Amino acid sequence: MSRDFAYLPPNPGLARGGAHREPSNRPGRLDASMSLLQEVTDQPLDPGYALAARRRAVAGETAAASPTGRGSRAGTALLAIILGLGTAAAVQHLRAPVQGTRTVTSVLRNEIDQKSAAITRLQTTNERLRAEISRAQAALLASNGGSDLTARLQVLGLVAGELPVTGPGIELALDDAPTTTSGADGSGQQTDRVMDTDLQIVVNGLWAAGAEAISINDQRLTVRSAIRSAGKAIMVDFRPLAPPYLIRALGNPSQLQSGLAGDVAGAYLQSLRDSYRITATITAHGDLHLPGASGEILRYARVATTRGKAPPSGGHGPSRTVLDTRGSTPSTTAPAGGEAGSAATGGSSPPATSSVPAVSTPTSEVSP
Amino acid sequence: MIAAIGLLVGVVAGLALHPTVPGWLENYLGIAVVAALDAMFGGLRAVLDGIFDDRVFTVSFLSNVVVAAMLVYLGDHIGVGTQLSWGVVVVLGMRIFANAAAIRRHLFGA
Repeated sequence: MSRDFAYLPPNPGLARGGAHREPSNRPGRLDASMSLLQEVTDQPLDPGYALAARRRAVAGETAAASPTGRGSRAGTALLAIILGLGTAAAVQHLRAPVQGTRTVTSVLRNEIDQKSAAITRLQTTNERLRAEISRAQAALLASNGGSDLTARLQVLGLVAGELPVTGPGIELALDDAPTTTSGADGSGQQTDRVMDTDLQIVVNGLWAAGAEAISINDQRLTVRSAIRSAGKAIMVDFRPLAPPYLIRALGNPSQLQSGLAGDVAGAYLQSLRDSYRITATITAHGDLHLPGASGEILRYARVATTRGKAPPSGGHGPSRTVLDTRGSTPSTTAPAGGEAGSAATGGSSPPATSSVPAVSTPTSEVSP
Repeated sequence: MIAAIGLLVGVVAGLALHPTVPGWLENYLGIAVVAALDAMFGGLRAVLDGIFDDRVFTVSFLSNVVVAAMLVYLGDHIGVGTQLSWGVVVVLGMRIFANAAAIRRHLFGA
């Protein structure tokens, strides 16, 4: 065995690497199977090449011109073509899964792009249709009831947040903290982000300070708006927003600023700046434009019938509404509804009228 | 020379035609491609050594591919498919390296 390992190829061509060696040059070895690896490394070239070369040398140059040579050359070419075809097919087949995943990604990206474009298109259509509706409505009202109806509609739309509004106000820009890398492994790339609660507190502070209309990133807030987070994105009315968050509030700019500063929201903003390096800048504007909110459809709330005891007028609030829970509890304050509800539940249920949350806003303007 | 041309024609045709590979061959494609690579490197070295032969190249190509795929097929059926394919890859890889080194010495003299 030791002799086997000490074996050195007798051919000095190995050092120069160019020459081809033949198996017949080797001395016999005691254990042929132990030299398997040596065989592989010493003799990587197919011995057939050497054999063929020797045969050619013996036969001279006549072999190439002989008819059998020509026939075998055609066969060789055909075989080579088939082999190339097979290799190309195999390589393509092996690469296919990678291409598949790549196409899936690009397909998804395309779909996202298309859907986003569709959303924008539909939004513009929506915008146009809403303008058309309001124009037609104004025309109808002008022909029917006169200008007081139009004015009332405008006021209601303004309060409900459905109409675009303009006026003086402040603009509050909130942005995530600059990215900091913490952690040696590089994975600890950390950014202090603006959270949905931050926006909620600031918006509440602005309402408290007397804001008359608020929008976040051109998303108008109404009484039914929700600011929440889904994953890393902040959503307002189920529409994801991207930082920086631009909060526009209409109102007396100086009053809004001082009100915000005196409120809890002001201290909260300051702590955001100090502790998390979240940038918050407030600028006053003489003329701000806020878009109207879309899709303000009430599905369950209905106008309650006020039985001749209309409360004294005040404000522009919507008419008296009752939250219809669509459950087994009766949904109206009217006596008839209450009786029907208790009859339906067999009379054993507790007095339902007391449990109904009735949101009553005093109004005399919009009684049916 | 004719073998190289034929191989090239076949590769181009394969790229253009996109032939479908039968499903039962799928497991052996990788090993077959490695064997084909080995034959190609061997052929290239033979060209540089001045002893290239069309017939030997084509036949060694074919037998390499078939034997490599067959070994793995056999291994799959007797439960040592993975080990056998490792063995084939190691041996062919060593040969490819040795031939590539010889080609490098031929071309760059180093």
